[in-house]
Amino acid sequence: MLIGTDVTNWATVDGAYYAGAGTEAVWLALSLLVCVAALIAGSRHERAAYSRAK
Amino acid sequence: MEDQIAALTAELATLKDGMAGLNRTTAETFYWLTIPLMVLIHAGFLSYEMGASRAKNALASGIKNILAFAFIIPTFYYVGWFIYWAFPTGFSMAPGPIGTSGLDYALAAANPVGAVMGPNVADSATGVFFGAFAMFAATTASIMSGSLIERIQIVGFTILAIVLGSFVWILGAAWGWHADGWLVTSFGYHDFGAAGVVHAIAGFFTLGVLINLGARVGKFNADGSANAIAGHSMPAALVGLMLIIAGFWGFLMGCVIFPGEPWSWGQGIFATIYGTPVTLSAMTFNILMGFAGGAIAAWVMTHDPFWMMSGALGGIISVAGGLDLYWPPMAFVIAAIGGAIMPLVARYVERLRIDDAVGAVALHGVVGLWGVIAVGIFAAGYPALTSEGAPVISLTGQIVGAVVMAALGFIPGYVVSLVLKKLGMLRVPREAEVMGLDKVKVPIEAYPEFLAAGPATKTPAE
Repeated sequence: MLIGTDVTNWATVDGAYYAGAGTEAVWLALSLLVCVAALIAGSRHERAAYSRAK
Repeated sequence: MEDQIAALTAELATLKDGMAGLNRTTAETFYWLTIPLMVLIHAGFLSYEMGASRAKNALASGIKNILAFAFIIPTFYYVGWFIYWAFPTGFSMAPGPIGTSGLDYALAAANPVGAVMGPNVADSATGVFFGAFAMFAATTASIMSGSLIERIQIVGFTILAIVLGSFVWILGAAWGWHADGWLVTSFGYHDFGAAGVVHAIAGFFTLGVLINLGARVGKFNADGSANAIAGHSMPAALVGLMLIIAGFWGFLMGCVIFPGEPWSWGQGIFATIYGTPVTLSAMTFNILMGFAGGAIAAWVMTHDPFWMMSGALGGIISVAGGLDLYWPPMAFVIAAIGGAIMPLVARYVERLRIDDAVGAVALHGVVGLWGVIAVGIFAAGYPALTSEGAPVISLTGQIVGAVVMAALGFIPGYVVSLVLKKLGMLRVPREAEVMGLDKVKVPIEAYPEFLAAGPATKTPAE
């Protein structure tokens, strides 16, 4: 599931128990998107700053 | 009688479970502790790099350093850890002789969308191993970072840091710092403390970037002579270097394999990443001798505290490849040679009109190579692995490894920085460089009371 968990009893847990199990790729893609967006925003900020300095 | 035997058997099983749990959590804690110690390396690089910058660039240098660390963590999670397990035998992704490599193994052990890469009660090791390797990765980027200060764009630098930290060095580690690595299984390459796979690769990657980046405004005169561009705080730089050295204990601690676990090489004694024996005691002798030899030689060569501290670091890098093997006074001599080479190489690099602001090409690149080759000179003949018929450590094998590490660092560093240069993402405009990068793009000031043109910004309380 995208958020939350199926775990209702800790005694049954014998392996992975993280929130988001089953939707790992979605979260990986979202986190990757955040990185790319941050770099794009950072690049825009830098270019604007350099334009002001000229 | 039978009841007593059954009771004893049950008690023994309980004891064994308890011992296994204790060993498992101790191993987990061991690698956990390497991580904050290695964060000290980054605290050191932060202080060192800001101190080596002029006051007008101090915070911009800090931002760059912090961002490299921050971006390497997720990107190393996405690809770096997978590369380490997938590529030891080369680009074929075939399994190696030990069987802990190749595509299938990597998909099981390091799949970024797999169950091992998160909270898992059945796996107490992957997270801390990943963390330690991610710290090695961030170290490579920090090595590069200081050389490029005061004129590189932040995003361009961040892209270079990701390429170096999450792709390039870890490929070198797969080849030469893994028991299935082709350099190890074919040439007997030995690099216990990562002189080649971390330092040389990062140093030569930096050289490739520096060629495309160019020198800082005012560094070189028309006749080719160089001007010294002093950083604004030598004490901050020196403390930073000492912090890096403190962090190196964590770095080198992360180079050993804890005993007694299913993934360990054996019981009762630490092993190198190749499975050969090592003790923390042996490492301690040689790390300290390396520190001393490098610092003393650099003092003799330069009488400069900056180079003395760099020499101490260079001494440790000089002996890193064979920390597990050297007789301590031998390590002292090897470190002294490294500490003497370093300032000479730095001067030579400057004569080539390459502006390496902190001497990383000399300290990490060339001294890293010296550390690799020194193993082939002073520790040749030891079996490189524990398996029957394993190749032995040799000068030829170490030279092959040194050439591979230098090329693996330099070529991507040169090519990626050239592409960034063509895209206008490598170097800041001249006007911004002259004005100072803090004023251009940082919303706060490093030293407002001393450097602000007008009155310092006041808080509401003031």
